Amino acid sequence: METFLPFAPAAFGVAGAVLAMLFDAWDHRLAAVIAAISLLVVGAGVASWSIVATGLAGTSVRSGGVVSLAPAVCLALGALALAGCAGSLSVDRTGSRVTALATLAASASALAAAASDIGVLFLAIEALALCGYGLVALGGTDRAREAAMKWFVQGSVATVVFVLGTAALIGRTGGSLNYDAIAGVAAGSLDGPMAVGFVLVLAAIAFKLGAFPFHSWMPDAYETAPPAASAVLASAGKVGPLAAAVWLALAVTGSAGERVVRVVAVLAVCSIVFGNLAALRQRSLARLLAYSGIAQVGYALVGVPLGTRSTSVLIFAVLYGLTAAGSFVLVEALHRTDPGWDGGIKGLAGLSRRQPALALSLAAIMFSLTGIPLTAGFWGKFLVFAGASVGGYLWLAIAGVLGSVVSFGYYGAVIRSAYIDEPEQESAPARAGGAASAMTVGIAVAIVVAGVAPLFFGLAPILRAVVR
Amino acid sequence: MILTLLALLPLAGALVAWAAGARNPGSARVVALAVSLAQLALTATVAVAMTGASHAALTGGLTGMPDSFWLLRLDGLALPLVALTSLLGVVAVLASWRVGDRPGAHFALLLTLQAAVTLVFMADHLVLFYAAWEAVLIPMFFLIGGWGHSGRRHAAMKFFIYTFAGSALMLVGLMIVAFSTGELRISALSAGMLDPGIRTLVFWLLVAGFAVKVPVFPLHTWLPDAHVEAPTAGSIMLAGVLLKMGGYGLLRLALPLSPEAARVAAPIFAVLGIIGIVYGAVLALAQTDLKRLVAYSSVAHMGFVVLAISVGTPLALQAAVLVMIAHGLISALLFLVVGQLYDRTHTRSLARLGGLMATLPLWSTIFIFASLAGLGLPGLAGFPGELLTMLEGFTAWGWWMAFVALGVVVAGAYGLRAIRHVAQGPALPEWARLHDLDAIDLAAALPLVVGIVAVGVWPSFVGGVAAPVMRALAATLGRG
Repeated sequence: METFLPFAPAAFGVAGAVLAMLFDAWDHRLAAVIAAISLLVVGAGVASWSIVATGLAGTSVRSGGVVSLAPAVCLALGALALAGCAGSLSVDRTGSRVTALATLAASASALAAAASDIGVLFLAIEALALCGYGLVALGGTDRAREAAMKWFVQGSVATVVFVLGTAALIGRTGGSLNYDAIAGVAAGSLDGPMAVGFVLVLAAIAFKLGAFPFHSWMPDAYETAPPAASAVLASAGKVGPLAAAVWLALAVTGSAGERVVRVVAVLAVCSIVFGNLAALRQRSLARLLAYSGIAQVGYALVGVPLGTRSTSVLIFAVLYGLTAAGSFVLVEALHRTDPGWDGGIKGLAGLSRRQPALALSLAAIMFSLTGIPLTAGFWGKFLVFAGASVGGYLWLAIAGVLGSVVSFGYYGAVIRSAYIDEPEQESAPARAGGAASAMTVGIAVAIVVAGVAPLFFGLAPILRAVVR
Repeated sequence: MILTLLALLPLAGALVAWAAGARNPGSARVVALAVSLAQLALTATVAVAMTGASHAALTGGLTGMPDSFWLLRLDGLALPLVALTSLLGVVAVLASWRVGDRPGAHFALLLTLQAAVTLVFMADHLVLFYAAWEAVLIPMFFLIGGWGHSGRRHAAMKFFIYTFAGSALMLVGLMIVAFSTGELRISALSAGMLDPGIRTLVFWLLVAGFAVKVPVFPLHTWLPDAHVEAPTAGSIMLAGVLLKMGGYGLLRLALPLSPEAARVAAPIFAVLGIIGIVYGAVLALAQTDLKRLVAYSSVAHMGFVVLAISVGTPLALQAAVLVMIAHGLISALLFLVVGQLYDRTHTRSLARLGGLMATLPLWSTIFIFASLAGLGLPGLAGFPGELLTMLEGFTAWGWWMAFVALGVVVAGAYGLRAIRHVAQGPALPEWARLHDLDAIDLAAALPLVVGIVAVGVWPSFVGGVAAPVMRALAATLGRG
C-alpha cells in the first residue's frame, strides 16, 4: 500500500482517461467527461491528503508534504479545465478523445511533479508531450494539424536532448538516476560531463515549458487546439514540469551546482523580455495568452536558482496554473456566449455591457496575470521575486517586476477592450455561457479570495516553508 | 477596531451602492453620500479620540493574530491625510451627483478608491501597504477609462503603467526591507535594522515608486493626461489625495529607513523640487485648456513638498505636510469648479471663455477664491506651507530660493491670467443663458472653502498634529 500511494494520484487520473475512452466507444460523451472529472478529483484528493499526511516517501516517485502539492494541483486544474469546457466536450464529435487525452496529460504532469528519478521524469514528460501533440491535432483544422506537427518535430529534438543529458548523468552516478544519487555525486564534485548533462536535462524541461528560446511551438499550439486542451496544457501542463525543475535544481544546489543552475536565470530573463514584447503585438486573445505564458514561465524560472527558496516557484506555479486555467476557460466562455466572436481582442468591445459577470471575471483574471495585489497572481510573484531580491538575484527580481509592468500593456488592453471601448457594430443578443461562464466566474472568485485572504490571515505558513 | 471600520466602511458602502445602483440608478448616489458622510463622521471621531487623549498614535487591525498582515496605525502624519481623504470623499460624491452613466458602478468605484487610499495611509504592515498602494490603481483605472473625456482610452493605460512602473520598483525595495530585517511592521522598522550596505539601494528603489506618484520632475508626464481626462470626481481624488501618497511614502518609509541616503539625495531633491515649481508654473502659464492649467499647477505645488522634504528640518517637514493638505483642498476645489464649468459650457478653452462673472456670479466668486488660494494668497491654505518651505529652504539652500520666488511670481501670473480670461471681461453672448450653481454644487464647494480658510488662518492646527512625528523624523535625519 505504501509503495503504491505515491503513484495513486496519477493512477486515478489515468483510470479516468481509460474510462473516458471506454465511454467514447459507446458514444457517451457527457459520461466520459463526468468520469474523467470524477477520477481527477479523486486523484487530487488523494494527493491533497498526502500533503498533510506525514512520513510518506517513495523511491522513484515521492509523495508527502510539499512534494504532493504540485501533483494535487495538476489533477485539480485538469478537472477544473474539463468542467469549464464540459459544454463543448459533451457535444463535439471529438470531445471524448480530447477529454481522455487531456486527463492523461494532467496525470502525466502530476507524475512529473512527483518523480524523484530522472527516468520516471523522462517518461512522464514525454507522455505529457505526446498527449499535447494529439490534443493540438484534435483541433481539427489544417492550422491545428500543422501546429501539432511543428510541435512534434521540435519536441523530438528536446527528447533527444533529454536522452543525451540523462546519458551524461548516468555515467557519473554509476547507473542510478535517482535525484538523491545525483545530489550525492554533485555534492562531491560537479565535473564537466555532469554539468553538461544537467544543463541538457534542464534545457529539455525548459522546452516543454516553452521558455525562450524554446518557445516557438506554443502560440500556434494554444491558439489552434480545442480550448479544453489549451486550458489543461497551459495550467496543469506547466505546473508539473515546473515542479520537476525545482526538485532537480534542488538536487544540485548547495555545491558548485549553483553555477549550473544559473543557466536557468538567463533563460528566465530572456523569456520575460521576449514573451512580454511579443505578447504586446498580438491581436488574438489565445495567442496573447500563449506569448504571455512564455513570460510567466520566465517569472517562475526566476525562482529556480534560489536553492532552498526555490519552493516559492511551487506556490507561483499553483496560483499561475489557476489563473491560466481560468483564462482559457474564459476563452471558451467567450466563444460560447458569442459564436460570432473571431477570437480577437477588439471583438471584446462592449463585453462589460453584454456580459457583466464575464467581463468582471476577465478583469480579475487579467489583473491576476499581471500580478496586481488583491488577486492570486500577486502572491505568486511576490514570493518568487522576494526570494530573488534577497537571495542574490536582485537583477532578476527587477527584470521580473519590470516585465510585469510591460505585461499590463497587453493584459490591460484586454480589460480596456472589454470595459472602455465601444463595439463597432451591434452584436447579437447575449447567450448563456453555461458551464464555461459559471466556471470562469467561479475561478475569478477563487482568484480574488486567494488574493485578499492573505491580507487578513497572513502567509506565514507558506513563508515559513518557502523563505527560510 | 475603529481603524478597521475606517478602512472597510467605504468598501462595504461600495458594494451597497453597486447593488442599489443595479436596482435603481438614482439610489446609488444617496447611498454613496450617506456612506461618505458616515466616513467623515467616523474620521472626526477618531481625530477627537486621538488629539483629545493626546495619544501619539492609534493602533488597530488583527493585532491578536500573530501572522496577520492586517495591522493598522494612525499617527500624526497619517491623521491629516486620512481626514483629507474623508473630506474629499464627500466632495467627490457631490461632484458626481449628476452622473447618468452607470451611476452604481461609478459611485462604487469612488468609494473603493476612498477605502484603498485610506488604507494606504493607515497600513502598518509593509505588504498591506503595498497591496493598498496598488489597489488604488484599479478603481482609478476604471474611473478614468469608463467616465473620462475623449482621450480616456489612452490616459487610463498611461496612468496605470507609469505609476505601476514606479511602484513595481518600490515593491522590490519593500521586499528587501521585509526579508532582510524579518520585520514587516512599518512602525517597528528603523534604519538600524537594515544593513548599511543596502540602505542606499533600498532608498532609491522606494523613491522610484514615491517620486512617480508625487510627481517629482521629470517623472510627472503621466499627470496632465490623467488629470485632464479623468471625470471631475476622479480628478478631485487624483490631485487631492493620490498625489499625497507619494509624499506620505517618502516621509513614512524612504527617509526613516535610509537617512544617510536621504542626506546624500537632499540636493537632488532640492533641485528637482525647484525645477518642478518653476517648470510647473511656466507650463501652467502656457496652457490654453483650463483643466490642463490646473493640472500643471499641481506639479508646481507638489514641487514645494519635494523641496521641503529635501530640507528635512522639523519645521520644513511640517511644511511638507501642510502643503500637501493645502494642495489637497485647493486642487480639489479647482478641479471641482472647472468640472462645474465644463458641465455648463462643454468647453475648457480659455480662448472661448470670458465674462462669466456676469452670468455665473456665484461660480465665478468661488473660482476666483480658488485661484487666489492657488497662487498663495495670505490668509488662505496655500500660503503658510509654501512660505514656511521657502524660509526653511533659505537656511538650507540659500539663494537658490530666488528660483522658488520666481515660481511663485509665475504662479501669480497664471492664476490671475485664468481669472481674467474666464471671469472678467465683457460678457459673451454665447454664455448668456447658463445656470449658476445650485444647492448641490454649493454643498460640494463649501467644505473645501471652509477648509481652505481654516488651514489658512490656523495652519498650526495641521502642523501641530504632525509635529511630533516630524520632529522624530528630523532627528533620525540628523537635522533635529
